[in-house]
Amino acid sequence: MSTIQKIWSRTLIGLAISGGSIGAVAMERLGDDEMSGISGQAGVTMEMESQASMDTFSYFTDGNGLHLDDVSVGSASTAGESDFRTYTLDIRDNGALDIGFDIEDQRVSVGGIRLDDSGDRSMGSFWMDRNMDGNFEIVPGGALSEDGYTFNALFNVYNSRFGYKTNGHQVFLDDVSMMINSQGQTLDVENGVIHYSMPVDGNLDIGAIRYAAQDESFRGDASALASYGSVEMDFDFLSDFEIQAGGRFGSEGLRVDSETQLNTANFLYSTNGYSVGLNNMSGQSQVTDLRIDVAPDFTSEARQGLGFTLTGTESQASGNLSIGSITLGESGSIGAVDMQWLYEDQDVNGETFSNQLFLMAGGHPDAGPEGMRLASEWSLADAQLDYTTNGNTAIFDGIQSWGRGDVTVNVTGSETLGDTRFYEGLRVGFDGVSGGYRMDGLRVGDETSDVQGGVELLSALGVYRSFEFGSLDGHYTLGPGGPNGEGITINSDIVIQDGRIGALTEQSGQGIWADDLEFESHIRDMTVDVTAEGLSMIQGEAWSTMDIGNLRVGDADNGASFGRIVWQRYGKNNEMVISAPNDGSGSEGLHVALTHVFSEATADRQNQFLWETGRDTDTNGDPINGTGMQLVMNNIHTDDVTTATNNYGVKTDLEIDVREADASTGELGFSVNTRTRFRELNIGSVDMVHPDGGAATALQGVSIQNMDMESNLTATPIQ
Amino acid sequence: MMTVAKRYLGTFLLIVAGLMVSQAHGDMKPLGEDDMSNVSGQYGGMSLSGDVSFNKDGGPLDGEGVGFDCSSGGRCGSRIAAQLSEGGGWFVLDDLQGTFAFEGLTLRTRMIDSSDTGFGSDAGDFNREVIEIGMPDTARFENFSYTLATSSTARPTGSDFQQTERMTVEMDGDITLDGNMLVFPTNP
Repeated sequence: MSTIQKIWSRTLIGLAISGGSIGAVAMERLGDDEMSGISGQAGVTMEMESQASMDTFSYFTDGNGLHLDDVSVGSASTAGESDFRTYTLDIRDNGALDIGFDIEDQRVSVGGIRLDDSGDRSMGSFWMDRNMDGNFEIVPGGALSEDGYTFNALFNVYNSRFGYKTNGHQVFLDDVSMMINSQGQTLDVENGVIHYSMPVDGNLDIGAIRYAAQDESFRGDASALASYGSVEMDFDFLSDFEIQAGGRFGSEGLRVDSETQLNTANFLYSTNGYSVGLNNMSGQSQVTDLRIDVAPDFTSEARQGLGFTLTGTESQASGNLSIGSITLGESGSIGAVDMQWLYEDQDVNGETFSNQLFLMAGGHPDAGPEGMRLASEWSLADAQLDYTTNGNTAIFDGIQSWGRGDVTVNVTGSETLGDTRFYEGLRVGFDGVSGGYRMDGLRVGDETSDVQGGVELLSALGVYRSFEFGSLDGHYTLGPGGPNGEGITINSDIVIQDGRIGALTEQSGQGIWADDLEFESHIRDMTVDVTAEGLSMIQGEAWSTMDIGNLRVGDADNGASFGRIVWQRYGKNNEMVISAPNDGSGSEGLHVALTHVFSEATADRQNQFLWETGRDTDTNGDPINGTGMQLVMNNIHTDDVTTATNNYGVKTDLEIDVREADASTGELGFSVNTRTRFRELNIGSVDMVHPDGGAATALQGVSIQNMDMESNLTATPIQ
Repeated sequence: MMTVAKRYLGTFLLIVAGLMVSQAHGDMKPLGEDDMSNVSGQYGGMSLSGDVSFNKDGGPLDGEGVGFDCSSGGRCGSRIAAQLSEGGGWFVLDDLQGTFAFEGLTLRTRMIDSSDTGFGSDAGDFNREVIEIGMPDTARFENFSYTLATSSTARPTGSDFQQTERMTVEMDGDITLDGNMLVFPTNP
């Protein structure tokens, strides 16, 4: 090969590596000055300014297409301008091709992603601004044969962004920097299977996560925009992939099997200089028989989606993760967490659940044509969570979870569209999701300990032994900014129907059940941020109704009922702070400080407790609400007493720990210490309500003052 | 109220409490060996040990000038007031404080059916699960006290506040709580 041929050969390889977009790039011819930089066998230097666009890039499996529209490459800082790239290519003595690169001010964007049957809907647009430099080396010979390749990569990404936009609203990762060192990647093809091994160590810093309401993907200085906070992580892992042709549907598609060994990792989420830290992480995961297709989803509607499926007896995902310590603010460590999981098919309540996700264009229909809809089914067949404090462990054992339904993702603004009120931020919606979870119980000490109750002591935190629901609808919208600057502001509306919560459940299926449960919850302006004390959550305003149709004991479906219980809640400025003990001893444990303000009744909201028994039944034998005798506690509210305010509320401090329950035997127990204080808690009236005779007031009012109740409870197995 | 009188009252109430416990015991049924054999292999229940304290350190209104003041020897505990009739006075459980400690209180569900001999023929007819609260055998009161009173206002403050104390109870020492308490669901 002549020298000129070699140069062009290297150039073409370089162009191929520099990105698929180059195929459509208006390439610049090398000028004389640049040509003068190419000196014989020393290598090639290329400087490029590029601006390119592509109407549509499509990928088909079995005739079903995934389409990327309006793909473009250009300047990140100035619309309509070019980026700037420099490549240096050289061939080493060992035959390795060495590519140095320096990419500046580049924006790569995809205007929309859709499927064949998306109509005018799109998954939204994605964009990436990047500055990066580094080195990439291709060495002949892979891990399995001389026909493969070995890659060595070292690169830095700095001052970069990654954004997602729907319907004129966007969230983006700002001020992103990353270092990746990946030496010894190997790529082989054997018997039609691609074997790719990727060892990586590096770090990732996201300076801020921001929100903007504008049509154009954000350019320029974003520091004036509110931030969700910042993220830092470092990692060292090895991933092995086997990729082959053949999806779940038809003859085309992909099958992916993978194994990942996480050697070390650390994660920090920070707001205003304080952090939540997941430290000294390690673990591994295996994915077997993951198939990727564009195909109809699992519902009767057979909607087309980009499907990721782990279905059937051969498919599963398993793994474990160990978190050496979790630190919150300046309060110290709450302890260590180890978890294990196995996702595979399982039968629950006579139905088979699998693991599959179909990604579609759309999102919430009122939000506009852009957004994502994820038709999802999950089946966590077995999981275990170990929580260790000061060397003592509580094991939440035999965890199972299952469900299916649609999850929608949009970036929305504060507005009402159609019949739907939207809030500013990243909106995660739930549309007809059914599912649940359950666990065997607790083991304290190690895996040989008896399974026991004790999870019931965490019900104040919304943690139950089991929870199932027939349908879940609503949303959580995560907006930018907290009470102290950086943070998250959450608005939420959730409706759960046909639910069931279990307590003291046994292997035989017997237990205490909050059955026929309807739950409606609304949260406004709940802020989440990290402070010196820990992870802080403050609700601006919250109201909810929990209607337990039958409180049963025994069998979940047919157990005898204590009647119906309805608990309405209404409060402002409720607060929860999660922290370590922070008692100066350095000991670990989980401390949760709750403040529930019970606000006075308004025209349509109040704190009310209702117990109804003796209801008539319908032709199916089901009780009819409102036909029985009711005990009603109206207008339950707190008062500060010394001032005309209602801020103190009911303060509850929970400390959760694993400690010695019996000094003589050394037996460990699951310990929950609770201290509840309030200045004044009032019940406006206590009424007895007859379905025909109406209400009669039994007590004109109840007032409880100056309460400071503390309980120290340790749960152990029944001997 | 004189200290001696308080002690007599405390003793009286302990006796009443003991009688109540004994009465409850009459309806309770200790687990037999057959029952215990049914328990093994289950994982639903739990045994709880610990204590519950009221106003160990005075409470959130202590020293706020609204009728609660530990340092001056005044009301230190919590106060529960209920008004029975509109515009009427308040029945008050006042100055509640102290500690109740126990070990081995059990909580679980239990099947009551014809194999149970302690309920006559009713057990077979019932044939359902109940909530079983297993008493902790020995429990302990530490400086546990309260006052029953009637009052003109819910809050112990204000110019028109008047209160008549009817009885003060103090409890200190061990009590025996043997057997089980069964909570039966009835009609939904």
